[in-house]
Amino acid sequence: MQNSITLWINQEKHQISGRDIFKPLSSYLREDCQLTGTKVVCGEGDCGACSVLMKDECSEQYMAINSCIAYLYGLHNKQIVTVEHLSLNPDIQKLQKNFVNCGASQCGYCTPGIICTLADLYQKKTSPKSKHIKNALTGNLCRCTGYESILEAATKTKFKQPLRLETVSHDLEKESLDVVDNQYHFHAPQSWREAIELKKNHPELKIVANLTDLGVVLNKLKVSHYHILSLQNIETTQHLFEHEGNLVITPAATIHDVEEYCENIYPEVSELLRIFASPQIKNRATIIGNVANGSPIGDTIPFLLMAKTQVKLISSQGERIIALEDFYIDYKKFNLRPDELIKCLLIPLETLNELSKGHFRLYKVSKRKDLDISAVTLAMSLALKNNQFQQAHLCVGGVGPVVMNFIFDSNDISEKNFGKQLIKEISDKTLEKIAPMSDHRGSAKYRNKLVENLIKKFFYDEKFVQEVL
Amino acid sequence: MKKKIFADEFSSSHTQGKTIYVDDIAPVVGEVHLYPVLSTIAKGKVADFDLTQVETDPNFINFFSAKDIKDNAWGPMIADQPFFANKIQYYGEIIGLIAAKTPASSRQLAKKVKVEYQEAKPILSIQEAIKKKSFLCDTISFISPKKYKNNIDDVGIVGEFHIGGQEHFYLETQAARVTYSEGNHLKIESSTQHPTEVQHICSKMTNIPYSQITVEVNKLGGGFGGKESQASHIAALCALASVKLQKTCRLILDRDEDFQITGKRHPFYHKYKIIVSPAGQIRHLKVDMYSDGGAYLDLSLPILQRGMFHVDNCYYIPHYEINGRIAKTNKVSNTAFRGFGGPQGAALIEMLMERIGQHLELDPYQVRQINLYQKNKLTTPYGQKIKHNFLPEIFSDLAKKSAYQSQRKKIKKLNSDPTSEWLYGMSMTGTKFGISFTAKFLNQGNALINILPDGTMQASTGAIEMGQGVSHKIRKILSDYWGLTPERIFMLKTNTEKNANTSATAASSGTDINASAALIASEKIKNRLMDLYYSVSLLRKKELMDESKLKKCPKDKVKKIKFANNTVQGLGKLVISFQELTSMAYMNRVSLCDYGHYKTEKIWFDDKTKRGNPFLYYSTGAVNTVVKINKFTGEIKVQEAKILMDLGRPVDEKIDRGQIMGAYIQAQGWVTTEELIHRPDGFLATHSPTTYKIPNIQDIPRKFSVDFFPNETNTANVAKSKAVGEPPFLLGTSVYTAIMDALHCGKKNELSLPFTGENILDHLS
Ligand SMILES: Cc1cc2nc3c(=O)[nH]c(=O)nc-3n(C[C@H](O)[C@H](O)[C@H](O)COP(=O)(O)OP(=O)(O)OC[C@H]3O[C@@H](n4cnc5c(N)ncnc54)[C@H](O)[C@@H]3O)c2cc1C
Ligand code: FES
Ligand code: FES
Repeated sequence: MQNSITLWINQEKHQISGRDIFKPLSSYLREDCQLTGTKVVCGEGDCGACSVLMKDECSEQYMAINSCIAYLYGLHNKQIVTVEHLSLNPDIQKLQKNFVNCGASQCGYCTPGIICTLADLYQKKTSPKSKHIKNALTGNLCRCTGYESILEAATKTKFKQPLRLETVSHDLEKESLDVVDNQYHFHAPQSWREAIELKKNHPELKIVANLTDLGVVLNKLKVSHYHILSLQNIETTQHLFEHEGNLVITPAATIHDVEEYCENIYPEVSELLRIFASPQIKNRATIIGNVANGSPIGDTIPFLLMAKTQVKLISSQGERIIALEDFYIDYKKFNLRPDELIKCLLIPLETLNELSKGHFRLYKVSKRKDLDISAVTLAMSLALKNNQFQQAHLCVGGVGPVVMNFIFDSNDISEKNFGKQLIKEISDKTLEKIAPMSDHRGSAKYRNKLVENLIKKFFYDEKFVQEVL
Repeated sequence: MKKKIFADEFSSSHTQGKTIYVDDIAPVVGEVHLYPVLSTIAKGKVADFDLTQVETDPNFINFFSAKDIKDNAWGPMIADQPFFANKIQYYGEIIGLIAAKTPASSRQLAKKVKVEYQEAKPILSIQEAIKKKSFLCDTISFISPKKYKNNIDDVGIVGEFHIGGQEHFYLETQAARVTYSEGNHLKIESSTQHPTEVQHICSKMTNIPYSQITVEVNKLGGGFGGKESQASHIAALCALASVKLQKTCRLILDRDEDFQITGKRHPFYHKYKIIVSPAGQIRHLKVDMYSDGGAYLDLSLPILQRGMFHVDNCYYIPHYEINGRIAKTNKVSNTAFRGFGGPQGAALIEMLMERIGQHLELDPYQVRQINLYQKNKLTTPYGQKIKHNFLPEIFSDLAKKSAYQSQRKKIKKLNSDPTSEWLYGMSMTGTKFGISFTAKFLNQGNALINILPDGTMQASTGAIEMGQGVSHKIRKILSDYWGLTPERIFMLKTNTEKNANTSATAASSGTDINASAALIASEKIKNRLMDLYYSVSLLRKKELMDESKLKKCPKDKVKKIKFANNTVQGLGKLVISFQELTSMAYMNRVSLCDYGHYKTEKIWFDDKTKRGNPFLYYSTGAVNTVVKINKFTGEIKVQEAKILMDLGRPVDEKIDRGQIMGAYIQAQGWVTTEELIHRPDGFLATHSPTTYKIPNIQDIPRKFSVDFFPNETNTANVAKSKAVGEPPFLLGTSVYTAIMDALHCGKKNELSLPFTGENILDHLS
C-alpha cells in the first residue's frame, strides 16, 4: 500500500501526499511550482487555456488535457509537460515563431494552451491541414484573434518528422494507493477484489473515473468529495476489446478510444463523437463515466441504448448484467446498489453491424455546433419489410429525466408507405411521449420542434423522401 | 560594441507563457487573498451577516463590509454605486469581502458567509422598466431641423427590435494586487484599461491622495472595454484591505463571478418607424431607443449617445427624430464594450435596410447603395459633415471583389431547390465609426521618451497593451520617426508615475493619442540632436567637447537632416551613428529625455443644440457575408466573409488585420450564439463558457479575408492612419442581416438579436 502519488512535471519527479493530492493540477502548477504559463480561465474544461500535455503509462505519446479539472489524485504515474518546458523544443520554437509572425497571439492569454494543444497534434501529423487544426483546437477559445491567424500560423508550420517529446523512463509504481489526511481519503486499488471490498465497507465512497464531469462539480459547486475510490489503477491490458460477440468497454475506455475504434467501421458513431466536447476532454472522459453520470443529455447514451448495450455490475455478491435501458430509473437515479460498481459495458457486435448496414442515424443539436452540451440528441433506426415500414426505434436525449427509448411498430403506426403521413405518425407518437423542459439551452417548444424536424431529417438523410418537408 | 540583447516582440513571450499578468506575479510571504461576498437576491436590503462558520476557520483573516468605509460610493462619471451594497440593486452585487490565507480558502469562506435579506421585487427587462418609469436619465433627442413632408407614394415601416447584451469574455478575469508600503503609499497592479481612474477610485476608497497611489499595468489578457470602469471597483476593494491589514493583498475573480457581477454590453430596445420612397430612399426615421443601463449609471450616458450617433451608420437620413433613454433595471451596471453603443445603433439601420429591401422587393444592396452618404448628402443627424468620404467606392469595390451579382443569382437558384436542406443568405453591410471620445476632456494623452547614450530608447505612454498591438504600433511609429530599428526601442510598462492624468485606452484611440504624444516628445529631443549634429558638421571633434561651441541648426539645414538606419546624416558626407550622437549629447549635457502632451483639436459638440463635430474622422469599411442555414435544425454556418476596410495608411497591416478579424468574429458571436439568460430571480443562468457560447475555431467563416482600401487623405491623424479597434465590430452585424436574407423574415415587425438556432427555427416554422 502506498500513501503518496508520483508524477513527473517537466521531467522532474514530484511525490505528493496528503491533502495536496486533492488539488487540481492547474493550481499545483501555478501555486506550488510557479509555472504560471498555464492559465486558468474557466475551471470547467471549456476554454483550453489550462491545457498541458500528459503521458499515460501505457502510451508512447503525450496528449493534451485540461489541467483545471485534472485532480492530482487522478494523475498517479503520469508525465506532464507544460508550456515552459515545451518552449525548449526547437520544433515548438518554430511554431512559436510562426505565431509571432502571423499575429496569432494578441492578448496572449489563450496562447500557451493553444501551443500545448498543437504539440499534441504535431505528434500525429507533420503537416496538418486546416481541418485537422480546427478539430484539434475545438477546445481552445480565443476572444481576440478571430482564429484565422492561428490557423495560418499552424498551417505554415510543417515538420519532416512527427514531433517527439522527451519522456522519463521509470518503473511504474504498481501498488494500491491509499492516501489519508484527516477527513480526506483516496483509494486507488490494483484489483477489482479490493475495490468491491472497499465499496462494501464504505458504500458512501464516491467513485471517480477521469473526472471530466466530477472535476467541474468539484470546482464549481465548491463541494468536496472527501472519500474517493478510483478504478483507474486497476490493471487493464486494453481499454476496449472484442470478446464473445461483444465489444467490451472497460472503465479505462475514453471517448477518444471509441472514436478511434469506430472511425472506419462505424462512421456514424465516430461522426457524432467528433462533436462531443473537445480533444482535451475526449482524451480523458470515459464512456462509463458518461453512462454512470446518467445525464439525460449524455451524448453517448442514445447510441448505446439503440445498440442494446448491457451493463455489467460488480459487487462483493458477484456480478450481474442488466440492459442499459433498465439501468436508468429516473433523473440521475440508477439501478445500482450502494455496494456496486460498473465493471464494463457490453455492446453486441451483431447489433452494431446491423445498425451500420441498415437505416441508422445519430443527431446532436446544440447552440454552438462544437463543444457544447446538446439541446436534443437523437438516435434513430428503421426496419423495413418488403420495402415497407416495419419498425422505428428512437432514443431521444434532452426531452425528459432520462434518455427516452421508443420502439414503434405496425401496432402503433398505421401507415406503411414512406411519405409525409408515416413521418407524421412517428413524430406524433414521439411527441406524445416526451415532456422536455425549458432552460437556457432551449425552450420546451424548441426541443419539441427539433425532435419533429430531426425525424424528418432522418427520412430525408436516408433518402426515403426527396424534398425537405 | 558588444552584442546587445534587444527588446523582443511581446507576442513571443506570450507564446512561451512568459508574460506576467496580475495573477502570475509571485506572491510575497504572507500575501492575503481576497474574495467578495455576493448578494443572492436582485433587490432588497442586507439585514445581517452571520460569520460563525467563517471566523473559526484557521485560514480566515478578516471580513470587510459597508461599515468599514466612510465614503461608500464610486462611479466613473457620477458616484452612484456603493463599494459594498447595503441596498441591493442586482443579483451578485458585492456586499462584503473575505480576507484569507490562500486563494482556495478565500473562495470557500466567501460562500460560507450567511446573509439575511429583506427582499423586494426586481425589474429585469427594459419593457418592465419603461412600464414602471424606471430610468437613469431623461430623454435625449436628435431632431432634424427640417420636418418630413408627407408624400403619398412613400412607404412606412414600423416595428420593434430587441438587441441582446454581450459578455466581454476577456480571458483574464478582473484582477488587482495592492502593496502597502512606507509613507502611506499604495502600489497597485491592476488589470485595467484606465490606470488613472483606478488611482482616483482607490483614493476615494482609502482617503489617500492621488500622489501616494501608483498604478502599474503590464499587459491585459483582454479588455474590450470591460476593464475601462469595472477594474476600479476590484482594485479599490483590494486597496481597502491592503490599508486595513497593512499587507499585500490580491483579488482575482473566478470566471463565474466575473461573469455574474461585472457590466456587459447594453441590451437595446428600438421602437421605430422608417419612411422610404418607393425606390427605397430613406425620407424619415423616427426611433425611440432604450438601453438597459442596469443598476447604476456607469458609462451608460456616453454609450447611449454613441448609439444615437451611429443609427445612421453609412446612410444619409434627411429627416429624423432620434430619442434615447437609459432604463434602470436590477441587473449588473452595463458598461463599455467594443463599439460603445455604436453597434446597437448601427444594427438597427442595417436591419432596416434588409426590411426595406424585402418590403419593396429590391435587392438590399441596391437600397444601401442609394442611401449611402455621397456627393451632397454628407451631413450626419448631429450636424457633422463627413470629409473624405469613400463609402460609395468601398461598397462598389467590394461588390466587384465578392462577385455580388453572380453570387446573388447563384443563391436564388440554390434557394429554389426544394430538395436541398440548406437555405442561403447574403448581405453586404458597412461601418462608419466616429473616432474620438465623446467626452472632450478624454481626448488627451502624454508620453515620456528617454534616449540612452548607447543609442537605445525607452518610451512610455498611458496606453495599455491588451492584445490590440498598441505598444507595437507606437514603437513602429517611433521607429519610423527616428530611423531606428524597432529592437532599439523598449516600451516601458504603463505606470502612473511616468504618465499621470491619462485617459482610458479605449474608444479605439490608444494609438492615435499616445503615439501623437510620443512624437511631440520626440520632436523636442530631435531638435536638440539636430543642433548637435549640425554643430558636429561644422566643428572638429575636439571642439565639440566645449559646450559653448554648440550651434543652433538653421531651418534650411533641418530639412536636409535624416534619421535613418540607426544613423543621422544629410549634411555633407557626415554620417554619425545614432549611438555616437547620443553619447556625444550626454557628454555635452544635452538633454536626451522629454515629455509630450497631445490633445485632439477641432472637436466639439453643443449639448443644447445636439449638433457639432464630435469626431476627428471616421474609420469606414464594408463586408459581404454569405451564410447557410439548415432547414431542419436552424443551425447556421458562415460560408464567406469578405471585408474591405479603409484604415487610411495602416500602421501595421498584420495587427490591423488581426483586429478586424477578431472584431468580426466577436460580433458574429453577439448576433448568433451569445445569449445572456436570467432566471426570474435575476441570477444570470449563462455565466460561464459551458452555457455562454462565444465562437470557437469551427465557427469562423469558411472563406475569410481582409483587404485594405487605399486612402492617403487622413492627415488629421498620426501617420495618416486610422483607428481600428472598434470600427470593424459593426461589420459582424452582416451575419445577422444575411440570416434575415435567407429567412426572408423582413416583413415581420418584431425581430430580435441574436439569431440563435432556436430563434431561427422559430422563423422557419
Ligand atoms: C468541457 C466539457 C465538455 C463536455 N462535453 C460533453 C458532451 O459533448 N457530451 C457529453 O455527453 N458529455 C460531455 N461532458 C461531460 C463528461 O465529459 C462526460 O460525462 C464524461 O464521459 C464523464 O467521464 P469521466 O471519466 O470524466 O467521469 P467522472 O467525471 O470521473 O465520473 C462521472 C460519474 O460517473 C460515476 N462513475 C464513474 N465510473 C464509475 C463506475 N465504474 N461505476 C459507477 N459509477 C461510476 C462517477 O461517480 C461520477 O458520478 C463534457 C464535460 C466537459 C467538462
Ligand atoms: S481553465 Fe478553461 S479549460 Fe481549464
Ligand atoms: S489572444 Fe487573447 S484570447 Fe487569444
